[in-house]
Amino acid sequence: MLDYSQYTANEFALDASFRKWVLKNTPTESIFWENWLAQHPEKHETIQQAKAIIVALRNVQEEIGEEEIAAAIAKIVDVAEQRNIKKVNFWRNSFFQKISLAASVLLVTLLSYVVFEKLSEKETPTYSNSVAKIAQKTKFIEIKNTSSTSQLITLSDGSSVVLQADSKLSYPEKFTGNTREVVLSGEAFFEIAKNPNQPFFVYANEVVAKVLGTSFTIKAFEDEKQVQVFVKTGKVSVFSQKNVTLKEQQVSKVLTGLLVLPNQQATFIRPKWQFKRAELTAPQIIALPVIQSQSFIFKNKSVLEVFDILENAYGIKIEYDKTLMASCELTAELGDEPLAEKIKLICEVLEAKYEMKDGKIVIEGKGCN
Amino acid sequence: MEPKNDYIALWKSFQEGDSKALGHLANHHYKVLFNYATKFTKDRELIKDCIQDLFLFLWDHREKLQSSPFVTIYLLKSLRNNLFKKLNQEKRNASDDLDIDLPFTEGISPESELIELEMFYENESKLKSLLTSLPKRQQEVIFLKFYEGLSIEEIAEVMDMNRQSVSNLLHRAILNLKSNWFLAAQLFYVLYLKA
Repeated sequence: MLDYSQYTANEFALDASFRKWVLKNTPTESIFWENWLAQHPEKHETIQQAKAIIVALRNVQEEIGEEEIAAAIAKIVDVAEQRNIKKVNFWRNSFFQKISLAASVLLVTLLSYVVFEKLSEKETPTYSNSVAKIAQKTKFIEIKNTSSTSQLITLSDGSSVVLQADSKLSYPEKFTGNTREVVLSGEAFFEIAKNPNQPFFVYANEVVAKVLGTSFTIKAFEDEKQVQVFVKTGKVSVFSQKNVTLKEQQVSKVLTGLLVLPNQQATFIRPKWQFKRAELTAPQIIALPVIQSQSFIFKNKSVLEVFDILENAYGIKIEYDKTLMASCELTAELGDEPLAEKIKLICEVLEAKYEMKDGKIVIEGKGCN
Repeated sequence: MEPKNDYIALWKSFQEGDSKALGHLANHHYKVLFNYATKFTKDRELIKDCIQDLFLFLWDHREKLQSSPFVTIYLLKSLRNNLFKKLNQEKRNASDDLDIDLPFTEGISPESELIELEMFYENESKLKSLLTSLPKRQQEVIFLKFYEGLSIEEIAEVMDMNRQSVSNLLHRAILNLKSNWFLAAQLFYVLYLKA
């Protein structure tokens, strides 16, 4: 035990246990300090002084009143209640009811599984099946990202795909015909080059996403119970691979099906073959790759910083002369253009040349004055 | 501080989906989270949104949680991370006042910086303006130490720094406060005499 008898008021104020007593009045600390004080009555004044220091330092850091807190809490409880699915009732049932319910759910699941298997003896839309189906037409490339960082892929139409860890993407060397089709397993962020005449399709497990030119993330891991689509800009139409209108969708040049808009998400519940659409919540955005929420609007921003943001968002390396470019500033409103397009626009402003090669971008410019 | 048993009961009802329990737990931690967040931004609505998101995130994942996440350090740390992500811009500014970690003066134990704090409690409004004039990270460390009463180890955990850097930062913050306090006092004295 520390020897507190020589402590000054400052030292008490800086002592963790003492602060805990004053601020929190925790049982252990209050027993200790009340006893200590009883044994050291001569320290009464010093202790009062130390307490006053701590209280002053706390008081000046109070920024919110009880009423405002109460209103904020009421709002939280309100939203939580809306989200509270019927689970509450279920758990309130007795143990017996739970068992019988569980048993019947199991039985129904088993039965429907058997029936379902019989009915759909054909392939389930997994990654490899989708690849097999689509890759008949042209030569496909498969990129597997086994690293722990993201990997940038540039497609033949200029579209960017930021492939996340443990994910793979199959895509044709060149897009031909009326559609652009790729197959994803895992998670990736897409920025699709605009071409209304050649709609872009992503096959991700049971889900198909169709776009004309936008940016979005798809999360479709084989071992997860859901497939999710998060839209950053533009519109994405989603439907399941079993959808009878799939054929029509492939020819149609407009977006139908379930439309997902910016800051919305569509979740496909795999066991139910059902879509749900909802607004994106902050924790979800946080869980997504940086690029999903990264703004590319720059106002008098140092080029060094701009390149930093791009490197970070796309997980690529940009090589350029830092001392030469240090004085350059950029004002540009970039959006969901693929990376190559963004670099092109930036280089036009900077009167610089660029080259994209093996996962890095080399920029050569004259600098700015 | 609530008795431990009450807390366990509250946590249990929370996990079973009782929104009132969520309200109680949120109420218990709201003030410290809010006051802490003001060290990073003055945007009160943004702070409230972030705190709401944090509690709703726990609510949405309540069934998967192994143990109670309603631990101040954990909540502070999560809120700090979320805020930083939202305030990407501000984060850059904050790194501006990333004071360089000076080597720690030998012979002084981190818990006993011999700095006179007595003057602080005499004039709260002056203290407040001095505090807000400190670099953001120094304000943060003062808050964690003197508002929430955390130990150096706990502060290190929340701020993602090592113990030594926290000590240095705290030391500088208190020195800063003190020297400014004297400046302010001297200025006041001079003005007062001349008037």
